[in-house]
Amino acid sequence: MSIGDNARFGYDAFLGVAEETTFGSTATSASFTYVEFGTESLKRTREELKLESINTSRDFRRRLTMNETVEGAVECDLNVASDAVVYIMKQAMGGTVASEVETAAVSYKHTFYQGDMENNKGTSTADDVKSLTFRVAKGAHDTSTTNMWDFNGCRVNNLSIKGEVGSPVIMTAELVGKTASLCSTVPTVAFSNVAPCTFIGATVEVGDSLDSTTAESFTGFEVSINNNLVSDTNARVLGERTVKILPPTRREIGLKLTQRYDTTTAYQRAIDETSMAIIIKLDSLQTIGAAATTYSMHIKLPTCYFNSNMPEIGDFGVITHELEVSPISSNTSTGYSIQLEMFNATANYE
Amino acid sequence: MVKFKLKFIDHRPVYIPKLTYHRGGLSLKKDVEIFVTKSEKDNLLRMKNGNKKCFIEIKEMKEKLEEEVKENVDR
Repeated sequence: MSIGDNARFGYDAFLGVAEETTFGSTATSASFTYVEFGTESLKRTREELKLESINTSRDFRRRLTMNETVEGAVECDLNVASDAVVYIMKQAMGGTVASEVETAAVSYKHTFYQGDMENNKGTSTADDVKSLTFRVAKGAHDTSTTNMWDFNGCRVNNLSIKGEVGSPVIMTAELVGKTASLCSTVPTVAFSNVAPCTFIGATVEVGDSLDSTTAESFTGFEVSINNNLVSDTNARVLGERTVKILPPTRREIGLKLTQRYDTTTAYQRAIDETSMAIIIKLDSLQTIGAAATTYSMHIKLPTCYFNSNMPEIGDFGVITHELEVSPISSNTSTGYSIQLEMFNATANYE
Repeated sequence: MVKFKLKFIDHRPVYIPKLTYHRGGLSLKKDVEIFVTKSEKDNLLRMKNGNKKCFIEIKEMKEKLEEEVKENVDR
């Protein structure tokens, strides 16, 4: 057999996530949890530099490699029962997680706070989680020739959660990492047995404050957390081709809502510059064990401003408008722009 | 292949898509027992929920295990 005569298949791929307590230090095999995913594009690349120096010839005679970059995106259905999905969201938020028991040994509530991706240990005995390792097998996971890559030092640059009528809720994480290495320890892959959230369990509530929201009817939403990670020259040092640090800078939260146009409320909110609180509730509608709580999450945006918007008429059908909303933080020491609450069966995410 | 028996003890149900003795994949709920190879046993015994293990090993006589695998396994 020659190279290229065989085949590997996407259906056989798997993707695992584990937390790193030292930035860029690959997590141990035992700590990975696996997730059913839609697409992944994680790649380790090195910039090529063909030297332009004059060399008495028309040809390039020197080729050097420069900065190494690990980048890619992972797209999966939003399943709050999957710890891998939760680890990705936790990293994107960058802060601590407070967990409390809802029903002993059955269901738990976790609150994910925003943070700086450095100082985020949940208890004094826990470790700060600096980054994630992604273990990706690009096909053929149960043969002796499985090739997996461990992408370490990964941080979420941009996280987007999107829901629209007729679809599962999709989470997309754009990642930046430090480096990658080949790995040959074949794990046994296990997934959550709970189905992901769909549009049926999605509701968007709007109100003056988080305590007084009521559901409004929307046909779609997309919320994004942009961490604006620095990965260019300012994140690098002499003597290393990989990034030394991956600091998050300005956090920008985005929200787009689509809705049938039937009133001028959204227009008025924009013109009056009214601060609104929005809670996006995503529910899998499946109970956690025998408890009454369902696998679900709430995305809390306490200070949102509707941007200027008016519907456009393009045909004779139903008029819709796409509302662009700017969630920001209130100007108080305890203010935040986004917070996540999650209900599942995992005891803690310290 | 050497066979081992594990019991799933976590309260979170999981799905395992590939196991040597359960080719079609397995949905596991608490207290379900499965048959595994040595490497699968090593992998699964490391699975944890927080600080708690998800599987424990059930030790049985080799002959009894062989018999149970013949009866119960989906090959």
